[in-house]
Amino acid sequence: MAFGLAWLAVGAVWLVARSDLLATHHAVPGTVALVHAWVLGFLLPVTFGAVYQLLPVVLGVSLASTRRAWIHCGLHAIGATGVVAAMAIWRMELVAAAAVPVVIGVILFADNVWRTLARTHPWRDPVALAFALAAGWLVATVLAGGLLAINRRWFFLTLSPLALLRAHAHLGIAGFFLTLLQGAAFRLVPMFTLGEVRNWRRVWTGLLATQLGLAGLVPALAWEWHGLEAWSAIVLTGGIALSGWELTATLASRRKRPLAPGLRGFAGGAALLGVATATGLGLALAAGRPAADDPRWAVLYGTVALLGGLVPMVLGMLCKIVPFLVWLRVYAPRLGRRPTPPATGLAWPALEHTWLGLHGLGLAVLLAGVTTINAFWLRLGAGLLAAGIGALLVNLGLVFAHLRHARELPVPSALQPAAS
Amino acid sequence: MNPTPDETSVRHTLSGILDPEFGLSIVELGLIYSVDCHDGVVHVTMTLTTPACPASGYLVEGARAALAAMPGVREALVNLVWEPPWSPAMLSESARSALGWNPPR
Repeated sequence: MAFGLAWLAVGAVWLVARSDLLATHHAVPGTVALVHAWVLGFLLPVTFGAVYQLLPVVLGVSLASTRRAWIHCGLHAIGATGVVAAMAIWRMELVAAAAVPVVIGVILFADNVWRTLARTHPWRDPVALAFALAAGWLVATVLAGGLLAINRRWFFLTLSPLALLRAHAHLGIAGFFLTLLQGAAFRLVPMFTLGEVRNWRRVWTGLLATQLGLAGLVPALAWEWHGLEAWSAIVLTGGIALSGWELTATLASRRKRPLAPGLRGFAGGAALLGVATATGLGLALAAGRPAADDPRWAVLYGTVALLGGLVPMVLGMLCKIVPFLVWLRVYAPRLGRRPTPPATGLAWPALEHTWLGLHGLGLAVLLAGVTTINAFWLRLGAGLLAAGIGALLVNLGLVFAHLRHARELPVPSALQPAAS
Repeated sequence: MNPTPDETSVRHTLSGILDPEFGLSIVELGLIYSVDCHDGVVHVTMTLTTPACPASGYLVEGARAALAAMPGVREALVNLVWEPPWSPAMLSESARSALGWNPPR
């Protein structure tokens, strides 16, 4: 997780320094490197950490191998740094070489997830099934990414590199992250809000329709079969809409009425992921026509999906998960013996609100900059976004500080020995 | 002489243990199903808001430790159960108010 947060800071500064990339084509080397800094450097390791922590909690079984999880994290740290660095200098043979530890690590991750799930009945529970499917999509993503890098160097595939890049991106963003969220959200949101899933059939149908859509969309993008691309995008959109509908119903059922900033970020990210899906559907329906060739559409689509959707969803969950993990380590063993603050009391709400406000504002300005191809707006939007992320990192740093200096609270009357 | 623990004093002691997510005591959340005190032996039956709660072991052990420290308690036993499952209807009035939840009566 620390590795992922370090890459978050790097990604934010990089975005400010090279905000001009958002005014160009989405497949230029600089943009590809920047996107991988965010996804491979930040989003993936943080999500790996969350999966390793949450899987046993969600399923009520222990992780198949903690040792393999540590090996995976080490391999990913080395490989991801190498891949992003090699992309920054656009040396594809080095990207392919650095991708080897990433691929091995992801295979270890998937194996660990599947072995853990084998101790339960994942086909009976959409949440468990989503974890299993997401791990499979991730293996496919990194293998496709490695293949892409090799092909960029030695050109043995006759497919368009741009088409392959789009297929790779959808495998990762929709296949791994979206599938995972379509499951995990329906366990985490009720837990954090005292809400309940209203209709499990909608969760099942949403998940399965998304899988069906993805199974058609990925080959359609790679081989540029526009008819299949459009139909698959329609099915995929239907699946995401069902999941979004159920997430809205689950949030509406919450008994803890005020939404914490982290959950607001998560819900806002989910809504923007819906906007990105609608944009993607529009692009799929217009595929092959001149209207879809404007490179700004793809940049807008990617920016909304990544910086508007996935990043606030993951950061929002971090606002909930990090204080809880620190609380478990520092304060949970003191329960009943000494006064303890709640996990929610470790964070600084003002900093979380600052992050949320600046992130939303920065994104809006950034999107205006992409639409108008305006360098000033792009730089300003990236700066606001980075300032918001800075506030969040300070907040997380203050939460982590409890690991070194635990807070001492006055003993409440309930825990004081009664006067005899 | 140590006072004899009773249900009121036991619930008062347990109200010092806060749920990490909601910041409310396990008593306010309606997690304490029953309290039985007999000859210095306190037996509490409790539940959690979800079986997936990662802090379950700590909450049970914390409740046991708090009870064991009460004057007059020779033995503290805490039993974690999932039946009947916890539901929001078990929230106390003060918990509902703190959560901002006002269901129709």
